[in-house]
Amino acid sequence: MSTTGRSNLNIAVPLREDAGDSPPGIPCFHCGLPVTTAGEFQTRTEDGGREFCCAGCLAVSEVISAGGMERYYALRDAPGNRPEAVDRQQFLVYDNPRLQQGWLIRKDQFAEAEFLVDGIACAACVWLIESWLARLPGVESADVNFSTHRLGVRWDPSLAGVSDLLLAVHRVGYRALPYTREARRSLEEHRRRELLKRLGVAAALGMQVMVISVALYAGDWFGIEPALADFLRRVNLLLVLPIVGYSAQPFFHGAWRGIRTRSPGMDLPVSLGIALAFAGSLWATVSGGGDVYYDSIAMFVFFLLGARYLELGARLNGARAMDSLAAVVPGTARRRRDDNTLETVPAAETAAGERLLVRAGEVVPADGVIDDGASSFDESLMTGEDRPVSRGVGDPVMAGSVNVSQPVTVTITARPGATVLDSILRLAERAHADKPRISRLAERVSRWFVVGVVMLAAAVAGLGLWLGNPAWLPTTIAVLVVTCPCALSLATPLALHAGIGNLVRRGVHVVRGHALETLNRVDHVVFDKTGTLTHAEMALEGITTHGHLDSGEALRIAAALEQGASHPLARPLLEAAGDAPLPRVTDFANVPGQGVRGRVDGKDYRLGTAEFVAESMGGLSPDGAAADRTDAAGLLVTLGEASGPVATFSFRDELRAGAHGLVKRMRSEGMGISLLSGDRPCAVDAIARDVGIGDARGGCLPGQKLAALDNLIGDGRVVAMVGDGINDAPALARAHLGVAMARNVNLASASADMVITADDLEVLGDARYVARRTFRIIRQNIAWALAYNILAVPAALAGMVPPWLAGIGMSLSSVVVVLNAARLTRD
Amino acid sequence: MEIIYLLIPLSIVLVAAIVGVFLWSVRSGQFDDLKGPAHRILMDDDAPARKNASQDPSAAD
Repeated sequence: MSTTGRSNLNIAVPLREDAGDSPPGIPCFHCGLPVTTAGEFQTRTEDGGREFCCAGCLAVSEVISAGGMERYYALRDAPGNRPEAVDRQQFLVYDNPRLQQGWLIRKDQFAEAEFLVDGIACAACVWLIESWLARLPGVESADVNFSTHRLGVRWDPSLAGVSDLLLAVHRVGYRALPYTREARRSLEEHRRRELLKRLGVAAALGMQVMVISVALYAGDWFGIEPALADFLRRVNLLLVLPIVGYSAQPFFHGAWRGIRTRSPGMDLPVSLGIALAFAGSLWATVSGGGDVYYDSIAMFVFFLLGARYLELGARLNGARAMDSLAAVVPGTARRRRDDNTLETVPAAETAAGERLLVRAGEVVPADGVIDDGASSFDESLMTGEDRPVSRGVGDPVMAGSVNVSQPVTVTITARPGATVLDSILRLAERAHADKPRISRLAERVSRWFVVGVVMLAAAVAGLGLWLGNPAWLPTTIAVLVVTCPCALSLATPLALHAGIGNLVRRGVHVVRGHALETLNRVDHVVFDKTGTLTHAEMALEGITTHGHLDSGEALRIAAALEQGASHPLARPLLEAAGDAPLPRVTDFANVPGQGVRGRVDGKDYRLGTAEFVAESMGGLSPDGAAADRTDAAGLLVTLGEASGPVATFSFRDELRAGAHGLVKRMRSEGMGISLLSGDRPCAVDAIARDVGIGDARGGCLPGQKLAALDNLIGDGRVVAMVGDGINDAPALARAHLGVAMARNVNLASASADMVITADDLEVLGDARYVARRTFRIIRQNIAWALAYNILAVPAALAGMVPPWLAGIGMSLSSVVVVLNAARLTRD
Repeated sequence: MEIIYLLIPLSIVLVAAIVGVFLWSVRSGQFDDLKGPAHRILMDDDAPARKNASQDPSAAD
């Protein structure tokens, strides 16, 4: 390592001197600040001594060297951060499990968390933090996202606490804090303000520059005193200085970063254009001859910043759709103490098992189960369903839903930070970070495009100089500016963000970046039955009587028998029986897997499978029930007395709303549809017939489902699997697009690409429509950006485009793209 | 035309003032919410007071 360390150090020296711009004294080797106490803090290395400004920098540098990370000094393009005195004490608070709620996820033996890192200036910082953390015991992986300044760590919490991680980051000179929505929001707000300031400065000064430029143009036309013209140019130079030095700073930063990381972005030609125009104008102003382009610079910077401001706004709007989900959960909760008195506590401090009072009109602060009272809840935020749903004792309620009618007491089942809402938010945020293929492709294309543009501009400049063309400078600037692939690089990400935001409002959450793209291409959908096409809740479908009892009487007896049973069929029977008083049951017994028996009105009854009922009459199977059984879709339950069966109840799994509509819509779009279920074949067939699916297979084991999916994939179909999360997890992962129907499943364990929280299946059809529209808009955007460039480049090459017009042209092309993408956020 | 040598520097001073005020207004958060104030002006500030007034007699009852 020592040899590479030394050879790299030679490169490091000029960089360091660049950074330390205050001449007195030697700059600190680490942070670049002048060293005032020479000789006090220094190290000896093979290539001589290093001077440091303080003990902190010396320590950081020693840590970096000792860790074998000298490469950092070679790679960096900004001086290191001067470390603040840190003390482990201040981080210990983050080891408190209560405070970890909301940003720390536990998976198996590992913990995962994201941190917002301050002080990242260049790609070398990323490398330093990643390799430094990777050395820490227990750290499985550490990834820094350079553009968002987010650090994702996966580690074994038994070996290292959060405080150890934070301390480690601080020891190499960065500040890290757990990434929470608030932290990000304040960062974004800061970024927005900065951009607005730059934009405002460019606008105010740019207007002045334009006024004076008009005077200069008029002077060119009508004649002007040379002294006055010279004065006006100097004034313009003064006015443009802050525009170039302050407003245009982000472009120069971006360009420099692009060169360092060898992935030049559109900032490079923009910066070159500004720098060239400014240098040319400066020379013309000082020497008193030649053209000035101050108006072009001002317009160009202003329009570009304006386009960027719009873009930032569009991106924040997309993120806000997500944030509005999180923001609704109230900050406080009313906790019921053991003695039934109430106290108001911060919602974050509630824990599973505690009881909360939720009054009418309030938002439920945590996932839970109602243990007292009944009310209706508006879950539109989670599910997209506008009608309130009623929930009674024992029913689950979700954090974020609004209690519409009556106060209820809720026992918390998931602490805040671990609710369904939270896991959706976390997954969705990951999707935002996770780029789809088309986006990566666009980035690659625009990178090559940039290199091409710069080379083209260089060729134009060289040719113009060689031929002695006096207009070589404006032409070169116009080429650089007009061809800038801003619109091209904005085309995809903006539309994707808008599309994802639109889906969130419908109760469809994109969990992985590729989901929209894949949904757009899907040509075969495989449904699971239970929990997907159906609610996984039984409903009483019909009653057939075989004897002296009428159906009402049979129902009353059956309901009475089921009263004490916790069977899934008890509920539909009791519901069907309504409010009528039920007869008393004595000698009740539950025979698991077969049925129940008991004495009602002095007679012994059995309720259960036909075999169970037949047992009581000596094994004689009743013909009627057997006949029913073969064609019935759902479940059959027979009520019998000693003399024989008296009634048969048939149940059906209730279809989810929108199932019919979705299947119809998909068929009309020519998509293949299959139904694969682990349920009994006859039940599966009946559902398939009902909704109109031709290809249905029942009794599938998970392995068989996978095999069926593989067959479809082998046939070249793009397959989407719609399942309900837990038992379908392998199939969801295998299909090109896994769609999970999520009500109360643990989403983190679902291997889905997309999660539907809406109750209505038809949103999947809507989602496909939105995906289509998104990609149509992406194609339009790309086509527009390319067409603009194809038209503009020859015009610029021919010298027909003055630099200011090039600035307007490229900004307008970006604005068109932004506005086109914004169409997706509507409806 | 000599007056221009006075007026243009004056306009630069004015621009500097405008930029200064703008930066201050951004920093003090006046651009953070561009929609809220437009709605706020339509709301009656005196509504709570009237509510109190109508509540008082009922409280007395």
